[in-house]
Amino acid sequence: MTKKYIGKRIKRSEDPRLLTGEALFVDDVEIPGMLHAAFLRSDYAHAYLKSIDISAAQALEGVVAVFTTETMGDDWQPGPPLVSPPPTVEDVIFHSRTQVPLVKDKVRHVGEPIAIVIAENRYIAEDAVDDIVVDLEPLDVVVDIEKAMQPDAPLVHDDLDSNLAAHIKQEKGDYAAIREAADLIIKRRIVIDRGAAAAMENRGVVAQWDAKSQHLTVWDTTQAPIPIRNGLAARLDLSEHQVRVIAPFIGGAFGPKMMMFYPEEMLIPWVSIKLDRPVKWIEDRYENFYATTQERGQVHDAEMALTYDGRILGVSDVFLHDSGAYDPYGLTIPLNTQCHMMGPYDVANYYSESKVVFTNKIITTPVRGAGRPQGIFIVERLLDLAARELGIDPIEIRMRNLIPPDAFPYEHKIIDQAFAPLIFDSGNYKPVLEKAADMIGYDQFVKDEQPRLRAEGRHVGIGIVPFIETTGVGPYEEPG
Amino acid sequence: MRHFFDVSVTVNGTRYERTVEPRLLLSDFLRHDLGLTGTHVSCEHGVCGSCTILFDGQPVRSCLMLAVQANGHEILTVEGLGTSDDLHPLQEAFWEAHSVQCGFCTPGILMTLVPFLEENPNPNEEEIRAAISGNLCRCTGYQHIVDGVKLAAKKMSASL
Repeated sequence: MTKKYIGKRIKRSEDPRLLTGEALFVDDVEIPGMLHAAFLRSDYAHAYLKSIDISAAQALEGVVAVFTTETMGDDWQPGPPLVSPPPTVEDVIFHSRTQVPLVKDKVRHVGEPIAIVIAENRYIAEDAVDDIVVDLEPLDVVVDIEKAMQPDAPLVHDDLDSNLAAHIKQEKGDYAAIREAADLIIKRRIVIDRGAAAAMENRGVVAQWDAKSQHLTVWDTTQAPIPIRNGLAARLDLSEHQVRVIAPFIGGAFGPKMMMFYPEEMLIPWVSIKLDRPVKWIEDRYENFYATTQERGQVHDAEMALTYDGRILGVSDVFLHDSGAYDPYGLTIPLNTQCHMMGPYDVANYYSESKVVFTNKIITTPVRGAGRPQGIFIVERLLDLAARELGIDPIEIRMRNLIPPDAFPYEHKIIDQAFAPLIFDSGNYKPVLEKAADMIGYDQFVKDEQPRLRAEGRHVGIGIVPFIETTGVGPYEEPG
Repeated sequence: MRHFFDVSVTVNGTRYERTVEPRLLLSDFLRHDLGLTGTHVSCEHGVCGSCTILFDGQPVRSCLMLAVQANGHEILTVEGLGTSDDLHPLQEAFWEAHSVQCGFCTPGILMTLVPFLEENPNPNEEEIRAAISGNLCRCTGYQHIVDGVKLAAKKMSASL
C-alpha cells in the first residue's frame, strides 16, 4: 500500500529537537582542549596598515597565539574567486579582486580583519585584541557608488585606474531605433539601497585537526559545505577525503552564509592545523553587521518604450552596482539583474549596461534573490507608471505583454549568470496572473472597496507583480 | 589577575555549583559551563530575545545578566520545558502549526510565552503579537508562530 504525501500537511521530523533545545548549531560544538578566536578588525573603512605590535597581546595569560599577515608567512594567500570568471567577450571588462584572510597593506572596509588572537576562552581573546597596537593611516573613503566613479575618487585598489570592477553591456534588437517609434517613454532614476540578511544565528567556524589521523573536521555555518570542503582541501594541501565539513543546524542564512571563503573560514582551519588544537570562532552581532556580506546597492537610469495600447517596445537600463571592497562573486548579481529586467514579458528590444563599482564597504554577494529582485522591481515599476499614464488597468497592461504559451522556449538572446544564453524553457503565464488576481479579489477591491475607503479619507492601494525567476543555474565546477 | 566566585544555581530542577569569573554572562554560563545549549545568543544586546530564560519564573534576557547574579536563584531553560518524547503543549502546538523554520529564535519565544499563557490562557491575536514583540524572527514572518500560540492556548485549556 502506498501512502500519498503530495498535498498533505506533514510535520517536520527535525522540529522536536529544535523545540527542546537539542539541535546542534555551530556554537554548540564543545571539544575538549578547544581554543577560542577573536579578531582585531579595522575601525577605518580605508587605511594603510603601517605597523602592528602584537607583543602585549601575546604576553597575556591565557593567550596561546596571535597571527598577522606577517606571522602567517607563505601560508597567507587571498581567497579564491567563487564563480568562474566571465569569458573574454566583447563588451565585458572584469577585474578580479578577492578578499584576504588578514589585511596585508591596506584596509578596504570597516571590519576587515587585521589580526587573530587564539586564547583559552573568548573573553581572554577579546582582552588580548585590545592589547594589540596597530598603526593605521586613514585614507579618504568611497562609499557612494556614483562618487566612486568620478575621476578624482580615492581608489579602493591602487593597481587599477579607477574603481570600475566590471563593465558589461547586453543588447537585444535595437532599443535606440524602437525608441523613436514609441508612443510613450517612461524614464526613471531608481536607487536601491543595500541590505543585510541579519540571520538570527551569527556565523561561526569550529575546526579540529587530528594530526595522528591527518584528518580535518570543520563545523561551519555554511549553506555550501561541499565547495568549502573542496576549497579547504586545496588551500591546505590536503586530499578531499582528509577533510570533512559539517553544516549542522543553521540559524538562518539567506545567502551570506553561502559566501564561501570568508577570511574566518580560511583562517580557523589553518590555525587548528598550525596549533594542533581544536579552535572555535563565533561571530558577534557587531561583526555580523560589518563583516558578513550584503546585497542590493544599485543606481538605475531605466527606460521603457511603449505603444498607446501598452505594448512594451523595448527596455533600456544603465546601472551602477555596488560590489564593496572586492568582487569574488564575479558578475552573478548584475547579470541576474540584467536578465530579470524584461520580467516575464515579450520584449523585442533591450539594452542593458552595468558598471560594477568597488567601494570601501563589505562585499556584496547573493542575498535572497541575488540581483533578480532589482530587475523585477524596475520593470514592474515602469509598467505600473506606464499603466497610469496610458489609463490602462495594471493587470490588463501585463496581460498584453506576457510571453504567450506558444512562444516557448523563448530565447532572450542575452547571457545569464552562468554565461549561457538566457532561455525561458516553458510557461503559461496568463492563467497564473488571472488566478492570483481572482484569489486576492483584485477587481472587487479596485471597483468597490478602494473608492469606499478613499471616501473615508483612507488611501489604500493594491499591487500585483508577476515575476519570473531563473533557476537551474549552470555548473560552477570545473575539471582539474 | 583573574578573580573567581562560587555560584550555586538551580537550573531545570538541578542544582549546579560552579566557580566563575564575575564578568561571565549568564547566557555563556548556561551554554558552555553547563552545556545547556538550547538557549541561543544572537545580539548580546538584549534586543532580539533569543536568549530569554525564566529567572525565578520571570522571562529575562540571559545575555544581559551575569552568572554571579544567578547565585541562589532558579532558572528554567527550554531544556526544562519538555523532551522529544514528552513535549510541552506549547511545543506540540508549535510543531503542528509549523511555527518553526530554522529554530534559532524558538527557545527564546517559547520561554517568553510560558508565563504569558499562564497569565493569559485565552489570548487574542493582538495580545499574542504584543507578547512576542520582544522576540525577533528572521524566517517565519511570525504568522505561524501566532497560530501556534492560539493552538497551544486551546490545548492547554482543554487539558484543564
